[in-house]
Amino acid sequence: MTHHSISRRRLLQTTGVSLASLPLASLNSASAACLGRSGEDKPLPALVTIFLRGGADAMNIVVPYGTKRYYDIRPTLAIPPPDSEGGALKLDKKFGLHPALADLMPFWEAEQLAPIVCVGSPHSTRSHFDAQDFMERAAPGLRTVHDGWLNRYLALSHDTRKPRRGEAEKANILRAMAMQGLLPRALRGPHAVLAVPSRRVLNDDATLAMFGPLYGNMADDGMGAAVSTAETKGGIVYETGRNTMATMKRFRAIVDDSKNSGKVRYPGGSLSDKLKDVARVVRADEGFEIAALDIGGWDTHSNQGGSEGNMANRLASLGGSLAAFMTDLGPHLENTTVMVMSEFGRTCRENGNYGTDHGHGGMMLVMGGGVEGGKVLGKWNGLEDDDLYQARDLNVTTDFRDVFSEVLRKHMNFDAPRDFFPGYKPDKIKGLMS
Amino acid sequence: MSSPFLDDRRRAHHFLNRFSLGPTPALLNEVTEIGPEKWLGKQLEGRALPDRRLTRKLVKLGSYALTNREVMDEYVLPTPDNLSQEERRRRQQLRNVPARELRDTVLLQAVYGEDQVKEVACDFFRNHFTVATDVGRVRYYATEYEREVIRNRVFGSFGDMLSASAKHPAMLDYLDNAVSRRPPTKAELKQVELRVRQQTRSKEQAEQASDIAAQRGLNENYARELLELHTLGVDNYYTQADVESVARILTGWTIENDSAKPLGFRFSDNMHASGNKKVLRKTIKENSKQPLMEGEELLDILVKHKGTSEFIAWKLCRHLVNDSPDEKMVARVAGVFRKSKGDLRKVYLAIATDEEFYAPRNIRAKFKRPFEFVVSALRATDAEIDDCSRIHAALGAMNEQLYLCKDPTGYYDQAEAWLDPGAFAVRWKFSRDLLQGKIDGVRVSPAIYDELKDSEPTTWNGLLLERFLPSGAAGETRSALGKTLREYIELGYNSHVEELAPALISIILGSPDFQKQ
Repeated sequence: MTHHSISRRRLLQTTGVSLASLPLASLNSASAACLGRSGEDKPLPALVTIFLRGGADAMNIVVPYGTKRYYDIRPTLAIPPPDSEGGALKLDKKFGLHPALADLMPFWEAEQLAPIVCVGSPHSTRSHFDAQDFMERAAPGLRTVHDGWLNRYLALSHDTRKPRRGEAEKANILRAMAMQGLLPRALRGPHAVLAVPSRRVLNDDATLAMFGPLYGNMADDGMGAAVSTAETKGGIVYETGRNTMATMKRFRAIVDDSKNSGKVRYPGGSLSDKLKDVARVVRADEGFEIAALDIGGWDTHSNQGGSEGNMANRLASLGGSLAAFMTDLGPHLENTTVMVMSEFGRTCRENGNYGTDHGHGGMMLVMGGGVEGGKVLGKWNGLEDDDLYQARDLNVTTDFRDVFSEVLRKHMNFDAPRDFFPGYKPDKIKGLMS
Repeated sequence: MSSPFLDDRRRAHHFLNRFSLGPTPALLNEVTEIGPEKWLGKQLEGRALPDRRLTRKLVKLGSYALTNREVMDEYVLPTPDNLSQEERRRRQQLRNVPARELRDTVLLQAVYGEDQVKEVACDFFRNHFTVATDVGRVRYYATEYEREVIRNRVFGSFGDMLSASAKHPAMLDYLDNAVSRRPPTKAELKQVELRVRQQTRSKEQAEQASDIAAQRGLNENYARELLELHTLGVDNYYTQADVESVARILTGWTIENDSAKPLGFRFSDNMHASGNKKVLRKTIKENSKQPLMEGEELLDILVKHKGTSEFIAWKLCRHLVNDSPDEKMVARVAGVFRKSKGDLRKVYLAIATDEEFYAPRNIRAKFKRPFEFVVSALRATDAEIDDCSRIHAALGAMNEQLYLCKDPTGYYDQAEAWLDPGAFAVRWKFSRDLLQGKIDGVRVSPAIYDELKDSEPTTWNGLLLERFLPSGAAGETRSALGKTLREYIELGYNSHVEELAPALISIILGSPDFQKQ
């Protein structure tokens, strides 16, 4: 086995790279200098989207405890009203938050958390995959739209946004990232976005050095591995390799910078680790704008649980990690917005397996310094059969595109052009963002 | 069938890129010599001899040939309270063995199987009829499912495979049909109330139990995926009302709970919803004598439905030809599907012999999924696998662990789903680790270096490219190889030439060209 192996040192020499030429911290400061982001510029707004895959049960996240029928149609799954054992955390007279989200309550009290009820898509699909595609591309029912809404933003604002003083456009390669091995649909599209690989891969210098001659060199100076979007003979696959090399370098330079590490305690676990890295990238303030994360496991057809159980455990992890993240951001929370969403809600009635089936209207949580939180938004119709979509699901009273549009407009300072939401003109949502 | 711009060898290479999980030099020579059609014919007849190396490895997997019941008896032992902690742990670990060995089985067969067309078909249908071992009790049922539903039927008829999947405990559990039932009658609810009242002497608890029982009923999960993913394609020819009807028709299709019988399909009269059911513009009449037949009638309607032939033809062409397959070709293949009543061998043959198959736009047009990349790399390097676990871990890092797809869609087979910046670096690492012997339990064959022994290093890139990328490489790949070679020689490492070849092969496996097929 060792017969064919090449020592790490030897390999690096072979490919003309040495570890000494990989001073990550200095790379970081060099690129910071070339971006010209000092204190005199207002930091760029950052957006973190969290997608609960599988159709999260909206009614057990933002709990309509004030609607009596909720308790009739959910005999085993309902979250008890506030002040009872395992009860919802009171938001107002009608709604409470699932008790496992207790860590988010300080943000509610600080008016930095706005739950929106009955959000969703006008399209009737109850297929996870269609509903996710439609939402992530912000184009319900349109199978001809293939780029994600966040990528559309990146591509359009990349062309129109006025470069800041000293900002080298082509070096600005970590505008967006997904904290997972593959991009979610929302980030797919013409603008190159990094799908952050695991630390084992990210920190493997010997491999990156070996592939330097092919895909651009990790040891180039801050500008060397610039993103090119033109097709070459290697085609799109080759370009993806170049983008991989370039953006991984930038990501590492930021998260490995010891000056950048925070002091907040995170609860641990995969979501928590990812958000910790996102916080570092936001705090580095080097042109980063968008991070997306997926959390699976919300397709609770059976044994969903109520105040405790499967879904409660997931919510506890979500709430704890988000609370740590927002605390960790410190003053950067002012320029950060977090959106939690899912492809649809679930049936209002529980099914026979202590679970719920695919539904229609859902919920969103919007959080951050610029959010006018502390109130539950969205029109609530009640839970009598006549109030429901097809007499089984929550109606959609707020189109999800209205929320996307509002966040882009108010938070990202981006007025979506007419075809950004194909065939749809979003309504403004009063009182969501300041 | 000759193509104006492809010589026999390149034609064979393109064919093997799609109808095998990776060409090897020997296979490429064979197919170049006898021609793709003849070779495919032999494969479809199942005349390939089993590979001895594969057999040797499979017999070590104790659960490989077991039925569901045998898996339960041998690997799922009770864990009563009085068990020692050590024994409890042992029994819990034992429960994980069948699913682990299943993953090994699939990987080893993919790499070493002589029936490569069958391996390609299994790969396709394993994803088409996905089940995942992290749901319910699927991990105990998936061994039999892979063998009986997928592998033994990919050369049979589609309808047969559909019906086998619909009745297998792995699918019944995975998509919840096993628990889908008609809502209880008032009389039954009263009975529940009475029974609980007698047991607990609490009126409140009795009413609550009755309320809970009243909620029991249809579960649409399988019904929806049956239409959306297995037969018609999303929103193709059906509506939400059809989904509910299908769910009602299939109530009672559940898992045998009598331990004296095989752990397979059971029809439960008591769970079945009565009445006529309207579905896909037809009425399936109540069959009170043989209510199981309602479901059989439904599957028959679905198999013969035009939408199913179109959807399966389109999906197979997408898998074997191009992410956006030619519509006319899809229509031709769908025609063969209908005419042959879903005879899958005829469908594969129709694709391989269609004039469109060798069209320039389809040559190296498919981007390898992680599974295809890993298996083709192991085959190209003739790797000896003594332990699969690190390969599964690598597949996990690339988001494609066998039998663990998060969605019932199965893993996507289009480039768009995998071609992300960042995801690539995992492939580079795998390429390097493989050639460096850093993947525990896996070593590449020393024979891959044989050709290089008597030639100057300056000629190596040509020799290696001919072996690993016989249809040619992009300029970027060739120049990176050249640069690496030059630096090596210029730095005077001629005395360590054995270290150069693995580096060059790693770069080839991680190159854009090797990601395409």
